[in-house]
Amino acid sequence: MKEFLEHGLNQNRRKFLSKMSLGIGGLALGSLVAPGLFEGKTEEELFANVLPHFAPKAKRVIYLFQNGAPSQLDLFDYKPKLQSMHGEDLPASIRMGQRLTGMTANQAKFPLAGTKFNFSQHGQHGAWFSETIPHIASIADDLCIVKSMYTEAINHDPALTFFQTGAQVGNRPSMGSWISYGLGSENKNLPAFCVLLSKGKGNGQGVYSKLWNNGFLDSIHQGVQFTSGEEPVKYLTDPSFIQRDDKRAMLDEIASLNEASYKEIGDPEIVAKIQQYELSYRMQMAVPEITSLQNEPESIVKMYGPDCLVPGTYAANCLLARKLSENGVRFVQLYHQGWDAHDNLPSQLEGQCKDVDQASAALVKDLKQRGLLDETLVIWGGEFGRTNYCQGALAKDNYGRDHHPRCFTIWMAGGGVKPGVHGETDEFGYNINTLPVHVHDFHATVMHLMGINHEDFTFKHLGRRYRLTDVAGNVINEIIS
Amino acid sequence: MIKSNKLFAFIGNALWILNPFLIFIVLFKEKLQLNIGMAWLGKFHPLFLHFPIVLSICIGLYLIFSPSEKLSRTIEQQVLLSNAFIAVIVAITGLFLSRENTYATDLLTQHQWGGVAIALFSWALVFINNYSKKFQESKILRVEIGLFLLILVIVFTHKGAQLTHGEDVLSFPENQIVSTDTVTKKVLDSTASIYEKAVQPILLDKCVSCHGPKKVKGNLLLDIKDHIVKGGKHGSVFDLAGTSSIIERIHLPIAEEKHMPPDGKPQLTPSEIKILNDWISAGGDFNKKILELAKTDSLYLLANAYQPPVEKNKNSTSVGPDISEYSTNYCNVHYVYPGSTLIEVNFFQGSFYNREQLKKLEKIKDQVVSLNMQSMPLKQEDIAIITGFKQLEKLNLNYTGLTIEALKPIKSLTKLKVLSIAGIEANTNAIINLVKGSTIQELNIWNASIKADQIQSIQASKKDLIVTVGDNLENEIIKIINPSIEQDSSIIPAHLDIPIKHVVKGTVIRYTLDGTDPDSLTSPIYKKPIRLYNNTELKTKAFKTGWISSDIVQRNFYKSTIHPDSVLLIQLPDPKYRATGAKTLFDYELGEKNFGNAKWLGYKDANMELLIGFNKPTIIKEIYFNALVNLGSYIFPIVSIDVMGSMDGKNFTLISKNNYPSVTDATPKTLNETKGFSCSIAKPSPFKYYKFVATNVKKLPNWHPGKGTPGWIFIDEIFLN
Repeated sequence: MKEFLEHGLNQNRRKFLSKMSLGIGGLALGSLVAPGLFEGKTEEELFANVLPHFAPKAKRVIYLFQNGAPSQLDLFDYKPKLQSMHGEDLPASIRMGQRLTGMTANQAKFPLAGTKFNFSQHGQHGAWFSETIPHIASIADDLCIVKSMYTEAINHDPALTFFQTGAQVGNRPSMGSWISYGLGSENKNLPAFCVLLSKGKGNGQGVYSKLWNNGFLDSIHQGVQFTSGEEPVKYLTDPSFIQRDDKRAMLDEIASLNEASYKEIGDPEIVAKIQQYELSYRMQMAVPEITSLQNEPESIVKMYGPDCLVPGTYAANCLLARKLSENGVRFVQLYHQGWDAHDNLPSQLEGQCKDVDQASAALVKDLKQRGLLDETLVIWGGEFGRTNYCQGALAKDNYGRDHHPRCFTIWMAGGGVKPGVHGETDEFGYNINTLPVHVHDFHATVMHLMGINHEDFTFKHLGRRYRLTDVAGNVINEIIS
Repeated sequence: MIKSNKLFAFIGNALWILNPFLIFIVLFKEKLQLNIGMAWLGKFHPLFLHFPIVLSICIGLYLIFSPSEKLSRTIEQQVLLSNAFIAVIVAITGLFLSRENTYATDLLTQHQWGGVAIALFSWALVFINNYSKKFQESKILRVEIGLFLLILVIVFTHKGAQLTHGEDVLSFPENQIVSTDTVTKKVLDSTASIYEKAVQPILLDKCVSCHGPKKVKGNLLLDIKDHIVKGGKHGSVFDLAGTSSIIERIHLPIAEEKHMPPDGKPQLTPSEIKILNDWISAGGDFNKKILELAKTDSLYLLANAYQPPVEKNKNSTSVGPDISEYSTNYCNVHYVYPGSTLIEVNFFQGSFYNREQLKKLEKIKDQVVSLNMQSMPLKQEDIAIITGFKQLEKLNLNYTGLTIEALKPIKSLTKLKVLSIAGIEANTNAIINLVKGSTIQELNIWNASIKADQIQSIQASKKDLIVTVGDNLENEIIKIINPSIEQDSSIIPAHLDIPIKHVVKGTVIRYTLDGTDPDSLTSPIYKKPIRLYNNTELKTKAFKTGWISSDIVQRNFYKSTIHPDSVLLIQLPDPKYRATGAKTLFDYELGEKNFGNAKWLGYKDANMELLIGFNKPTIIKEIYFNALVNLGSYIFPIVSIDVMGSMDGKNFTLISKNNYPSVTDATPKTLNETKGFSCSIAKPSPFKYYKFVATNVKKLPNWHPGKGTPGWIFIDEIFLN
């Protein structure tokens, strides 16, 4: 009986193995109808022929990040109720026990602080602007003002990181890196993602290079920081004794050596290296041509304000942003520090507005008069808002405001957004009444404007697919024209 | 018989190839790329599919009813093999076919996986029948498996039928169902009713799939007039006194659970929402014609412009021919998006412009819809080439150095909608001539001679023309920025050169060295770096004709002639602000206003006590403490400085005692500045050692938030003369 069984099993095993080989043949046949499956194409190459998913409205983004969180209540979100209740305590029914920062959580009272500034309505949508930003108010008809932004983080670093990368902890790719990865550079002589920093006199918060980091994407997608010194891009300029022709000859020689060793070894990294040398050679020509602000006509200088000729100022960065953008840089990220007004908010805010108001508006107008605004998305905003109650001592015309993630205002212009006012906060400016927009929704919308379906745009890393919007985010169709 | 044995052995082997193949292609179906032969095979799916259905039903019934006279094992096996074989063929051809057509994705996926399941289960039956003794004997098991097979086949082949014959393939015919085809294909103009032209197509497209005859959610049907009037569970659609549930829900944000259409279904566009909203708000008149509305009514505009959705071919991944050969490092040529036939072209960096590049594009000129040549040095010849790009809709010629006359041929571009010519010199008449009779709808101009008030005459020259001129600020008078003093050090060892710069060309910089304010007439004009030898207050100011002159920029420079040989801090600073210790005080580097930059020594809980030593006795006549005052940050002025001298380092005699005015009520509470505190020694005599004690405020005044606590003192540098 046992032998009989074994015979049967052997028979079956032999049969099974021989049949298995047929099965593998079937798989092999399958691989013929799905070429590319086993070719080891990188995700990047797979996206190259797919993105953008549909016709984009915006081709480029300029993100004017107001680092430190400007007070929406003193700029855009006009709340007369706070003025009439100035000094009274924030009703518990409005606060609803929501989390506060360690800086004010122990305050005995939360006296409401009405804005010290006068507000007026501008443009056909009747949007409110404070007197501190007359230039931005003058372009009201181009602005899509989102009053109902909210975020999850309550402190600067996580909130900033969240806005830039879609996650509060570091190490994810920045928005600009995702765009660079998905769409690449338009101009082959410049990086696709550039970063410009400036600093106001107000209380500042740090900006770190992790904010424009490529995360798990290839390092070529990292933001390239343009500095304010003589040399906008570090290590790009040749020493004075090297002539351009010598450089060319040297690169040609190195390239021929590299090509020879590529033929021998076949490592694609060698080809990448040759291309990188060529890019930096071309950048040596492109960057000075593009970053030179000296040749701007006087009319442009007056529009941005003469500060735009002082390297490292916000105005100079706005002007440089326009030049980079019109030269095909996909994503220009500005940061302007100094909005973190926990005390002396009125005077700090006035100083900050002086820095940014004219140049921000000038950038939008400049793009518009060149016919580039409809394809360039300009975004202006901070990482969260500020509280309606006062931090520290409240005076009649002096107050400070703490961090407030539950509602704040940002604005966008051009790039396929619809001018108008989106969303509404309650009369205390504490909670959102209608049409809330989460940071993930904001990301999804920006992606959508760039022609990318955020749900289909992923990168596989450590066994899971990541998106800028992670597992959330809805496109806000109401603000798309 | 031998032949048939061979045939079934072949089928058995073929199943071992085809089933893994099936699993493979269903797993990677997104990546399949079919050649024509396979696509052709796919077309046989509808032909083959009926065989396994019939066979499977027969097998199922045979198993369920288990006739007393069983078929022979061989026949059973052959029937099962045939069934498995044809089922896998049908499944494979089905997958091929699915790549060709566009079907509702949910249904298709269900049908596909169902088909795969049928094929695999049929194959499994071959083995079960062959090897499982229990299956041969247990009647119940045979009935169960038979039933399972029947259900599997009926459910999932029905999905297939729904795909091709519509979801209502087997529902009872209903005479009121509105066929979407006939409605949307009717050509409707403004003589149609608002309902026919816009409202009904929207409802059919976005609502009826759940509020229609196939599915009736919330008891609400939106397919025909009578049903719409009837309303649903949440009341009438036209309930305007209360809240019309439909209006409320379409306006909710998508994250809300009650939002309609639900998340995941095709959403209403903003203009569709507006159409529904306005139509319902106006009472929902089914017969009102679009024509009857006022021409300026937003509903008129929206409804008139409404186009019923066109079925999009989602699966078309066909990418147009490769156009990368047209791109260079200075010219980017790309499709609007992959799959589009329209091409956009951008040129970059004028110094590399080459006309050959533009000529090359003539091969694809009928596809180019957007051309950006901003800042390219263009000539008449380039315009001649560009005018051959007949499909151009958007053209950017900003700062191309062309004259407005050279642009005339552009008029022949009959598709052109957006033209940008910023920076091209032209007067109003020339521009009017350019746009008159052209198809241009949007014109972006900026140049020195056009002022914002002339915009109207340009606009008036052509109906619906949008003109952007930008700000013309050439003649605006604004304030020039400050000159910058390009010397980091404020300390004069023997002498110090002070360069002053201004970034705006043609600016005149004037300065004074005596503390008076510079003026535009008498103050010296800066030409080369100023050389300073003694304590100096430098004031400088920029002037430019046509601009308001700048603010005065003021800096103090200090003489420092004596440098101690050794320095010792008797009292260490607060650990948070200790900079690099005692040597910070004599490093000739000032700390600026940022007290956290590690150039300042900070004291709060104790006085500053400092000892300096010289190798040989030295006379000091004057001592100068450079300190920070930042009231908001609790940093107050120094209260007093005592100076003591000694020859042996042990016995000190007081040689100077200095008290400084404290903060008064008149001092601005936001004061933030660096301030010098000087001590002069009335009767200087040589000492080897000097000791300094600088005291801080022990109790901050009452007005300050930190009242009662000690104030800080911050010192960055000490000068000895």
